[in-house]
Amino acid sequence: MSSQAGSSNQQLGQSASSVFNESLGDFDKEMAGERDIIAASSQGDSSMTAQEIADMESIMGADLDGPIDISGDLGNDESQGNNDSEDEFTGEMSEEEISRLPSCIDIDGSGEDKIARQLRVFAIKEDDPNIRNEIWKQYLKHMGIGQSEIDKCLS
Amino acid sequence: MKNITTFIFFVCLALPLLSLSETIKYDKVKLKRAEIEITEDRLLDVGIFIFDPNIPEDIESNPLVFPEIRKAEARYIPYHLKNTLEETGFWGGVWMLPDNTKAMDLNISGRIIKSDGYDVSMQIGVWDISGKQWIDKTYKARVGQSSYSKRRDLTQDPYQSIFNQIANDLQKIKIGYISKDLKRISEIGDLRFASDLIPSVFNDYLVQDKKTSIYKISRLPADDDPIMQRIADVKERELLLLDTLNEYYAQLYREISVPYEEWRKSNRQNAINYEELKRSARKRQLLGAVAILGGIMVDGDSNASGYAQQGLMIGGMQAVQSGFAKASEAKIYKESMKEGGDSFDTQAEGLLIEVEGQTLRLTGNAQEMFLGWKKLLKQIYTEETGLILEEDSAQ
Repeated sequence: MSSQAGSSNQQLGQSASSVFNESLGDFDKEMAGERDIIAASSQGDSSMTAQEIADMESIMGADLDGPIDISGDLGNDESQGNNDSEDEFTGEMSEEEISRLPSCIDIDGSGEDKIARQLRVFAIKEDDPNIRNEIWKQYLKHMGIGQSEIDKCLS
Repeated sequence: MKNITTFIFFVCLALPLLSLSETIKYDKVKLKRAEIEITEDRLLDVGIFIFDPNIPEDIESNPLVFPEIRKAEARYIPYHLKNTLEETGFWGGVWMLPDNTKAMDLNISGRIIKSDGYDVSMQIGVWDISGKQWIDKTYKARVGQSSYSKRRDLTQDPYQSIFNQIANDLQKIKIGYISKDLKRISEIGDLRFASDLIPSVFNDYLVQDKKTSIYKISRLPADDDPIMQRIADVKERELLLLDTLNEYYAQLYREISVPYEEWRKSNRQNAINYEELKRSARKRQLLGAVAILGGIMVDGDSNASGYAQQGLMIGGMQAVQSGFAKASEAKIYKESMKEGGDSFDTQAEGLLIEVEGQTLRLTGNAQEMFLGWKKLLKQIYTEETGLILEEDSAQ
């Protein structure tokens, strides 16, 4: 949405009608892009409504008190999350998943609370690198890391 | 004897103040939901404006009104009302609006009168797009402790009774309209939107009653009018913009939801303690004063009357003193409310800045596009009809 609809195109001799239709399409694209950005930041948003927190807590239950299993999908995490050691935890990560961890984030997830662990799972599962980056950003924010450190970590 | 009668009179005056127990009724209003799917012709699109936070100009003398919390509430409350209306299934689309628009069939505005987690009160106004007022009412509720319980249905806000009451009132009014009248409201909406884009073409399609300011249709465009189709395309983009803006409002709603509830919960308890202690302090001071007065009035030279006089004076002074102690205890809760409010106020400010920045950016950019479309629609109209349009003063 850099300029008023149609002013430059009309100088190129297009009819008002085609400029109008084109500008509607441009607007739709702008809005779609905007909503993608919102969706990406929401996906990694550590803030949740009370209902979402309660839901998550009931789903995750005690499983998240131990190291998290990220090898299966989220549904499987629930039933397989009772790993007892760090080795088991890291052992179940594929190379690709390990490569998705920014270097500044501990592989063992020490010091994480439930929300941070959930964010870690989301980030590792996310295929889109931009969205993944957004989720890591939210993760680091949630862990109390300063903005400059976050930028350095994710650069 | 006369003095004793006077004393009894004062005591009788003070007695009603002694009634320490107060029964508080917490209203629970159940939300009416559609039991069957509502047909298209009975659905109206609803817009809810960001509420008026009603921040007093003299904020210094209202230390328990926190400007940033009020601003956050002015966005949180309409968003929750949107959720509630959507939940009923009685309405078409429901959006929160940053600004005036002609794209909605029904517009809701609100002003926060009081909100401290214990007492909530808001003024609500609802108009349809023809200009007819549906609701002008102040909604009030007293919020019970159970409304903050973690075991409740957490989709229900602690102020849910008010939201449900507004939704039920709206439904009750809508049910009084036959489908034809509801369709007429939507048609007026389409024409007002069209008239906003190309006034010189569409102003004649509507007449506004001089007395009531209510719009009526004087004529309708043809069903296949090509310019109306393009106007419908622009309206769709306005709704798309509102969808996007509502995503940002949803983010704020989510971010603020938990700390806002925590603030309301703790503020509620402090407000109750504060009010109770203040009331208790007043009672003690007054009773003390009555006892001292009684002591002064006790007449007689006997030892008994001397003791009675002394007893009343001492008892009265003790009561007054304990009244002062209660008053200073009340101040502690007031300070606690101030402290908790200040802390959440700062947190809310940061969240608001982000959302407001995004809203301004988006609406600013979109405004340029809409201006461009206005010009293009006029050109298209001229190209297709051969009619030269007058300059619209609105532009």
